[in-house]
Amino acid sequence: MKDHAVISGVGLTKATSPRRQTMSKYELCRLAVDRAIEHSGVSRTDIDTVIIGDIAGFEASSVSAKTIAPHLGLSPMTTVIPISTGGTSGGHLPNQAATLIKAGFAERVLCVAPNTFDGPVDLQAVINTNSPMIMEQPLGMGASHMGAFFPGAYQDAYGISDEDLMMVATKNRADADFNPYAHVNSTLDDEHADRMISTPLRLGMTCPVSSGAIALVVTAEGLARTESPNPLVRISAHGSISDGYLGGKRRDFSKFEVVEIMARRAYRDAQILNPLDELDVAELFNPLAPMEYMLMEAFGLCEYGTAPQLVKDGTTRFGGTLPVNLSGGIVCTNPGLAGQIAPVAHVALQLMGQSVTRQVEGAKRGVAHSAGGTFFQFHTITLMERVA
Amino acid sequence: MTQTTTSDTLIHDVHWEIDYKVRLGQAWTRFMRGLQNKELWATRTNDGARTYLPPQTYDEATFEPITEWVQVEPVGTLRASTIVYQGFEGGPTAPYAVGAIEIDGTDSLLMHFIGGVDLTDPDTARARLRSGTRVRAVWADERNAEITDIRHFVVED
Repeated sequence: MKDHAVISGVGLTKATSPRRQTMSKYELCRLAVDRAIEHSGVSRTDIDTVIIGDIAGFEASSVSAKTIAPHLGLSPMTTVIPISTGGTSGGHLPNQAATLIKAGFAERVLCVAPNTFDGPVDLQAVINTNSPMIMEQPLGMGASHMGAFFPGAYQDAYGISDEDLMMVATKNRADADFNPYAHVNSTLDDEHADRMISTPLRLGMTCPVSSGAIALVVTAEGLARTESPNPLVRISAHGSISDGYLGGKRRDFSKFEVVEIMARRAYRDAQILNPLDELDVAELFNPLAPMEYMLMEAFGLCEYGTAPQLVKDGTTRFGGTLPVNLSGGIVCTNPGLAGQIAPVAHVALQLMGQSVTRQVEGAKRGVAHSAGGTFFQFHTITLMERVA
Repeated sequence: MTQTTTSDTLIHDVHWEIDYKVRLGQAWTRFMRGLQNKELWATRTNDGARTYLPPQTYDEATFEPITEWVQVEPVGTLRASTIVYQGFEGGPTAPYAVGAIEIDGTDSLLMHFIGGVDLTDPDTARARLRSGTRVRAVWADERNAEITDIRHFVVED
């Protein structure tokens, strides 16, 4: 039966470095799953579908989602759906769960976002397989270098200073101090942070390599009304979009051209006319801290080129009109898949009034985003609203 | 209840070593043969509205096939760039610069190395590589029908 989809349970694990991780991928996923199921009030055997993310090449085996599924303690008849879409895999998990529930094909869906980066010895070598081959892969660009084109062009277009670029990273790390599940926080020392990687990106603007897993339970709203102990957080709209694959397909690196299109469509679906006023909390995927500015603009929170001002005047800080990335964002914690679903997880908890970071009082509507591809060619959006 | 392992959990090695042969197809083959000949070839829609470099044989706006090829001069305008100070294993030795170049008469950007600029000081180098800088291709002495048949682009004053 068709119904709205609500996020009924969230399971987090504390992030650490892959070197310090003591659990296997299966154990970590199982831990996140156990926590999400317990939080949701759903009976384990009532899960009818499990959607598991992985990213090809980062795992020592292919289609690792299929190898993880049997370890999760689910009914053998559970439908298993692997999703492998690079950096947007995590964002797609709850969106696909909502799609299935709204279409009447599922009722209680488990979303599993594993720790992606624990395996590869040379992580850069794996990331380079994502570089557009033949035409651009031979040109010496790793993930940070490809990503650097964006804040570089943004800075050039709008006269943004190096200090302003670092300002948002400092905000992220200060917020991470209040997130017990974050990896890097304000203890990162300035000398390290200032080291130039690829202009204008400095080390302190780039994400760490983290290990952790996150799981969500997404339930048909009618069932959640009787089963769930938590306030009901409905997925009110969702979407995704892709841009051309070659880096050179971006005509303007100073903005995420397609993200504005994706956001407008989702806002229309959720009947949001003025996101800055109507949203209470946002988590925007920022493995490179300055992306937060560009995403704020593409999501319609302010005019292009003006986002740093909203950080300076407190609009997007804790206590402001629309706090952004109170979790500390991806620049503080990036376990891969788990990092991509973290925006949805943290917004859902905020709307439940159960944030593990600082709580935005009375938060009712929020937006989460994920991005993928080394040139951020793909994006997802998930809009959520507390309905009960 | 979930049992966790002890802190000295075993780690085993898994090793992949896989080679691929990738067919470039008609458009990119012609493009690469052009580079080998020190020529830059693009494809253009019939109405001239869009010119693709690297070339492709369909138009993204109309989904119509494209059959017209045009040779373009290897000169253009730098639209975005980055100067790499920390590279990666197997990559070029830092510092080096990479740019996104709008070749004159085309509608997408060609990414390539930018050479001939003193990269010792990041701020000076960045000032030299601002958007709008004109650049021209320098061909490699040895050309093998690859994107690196262009050695790099240099600033044209």
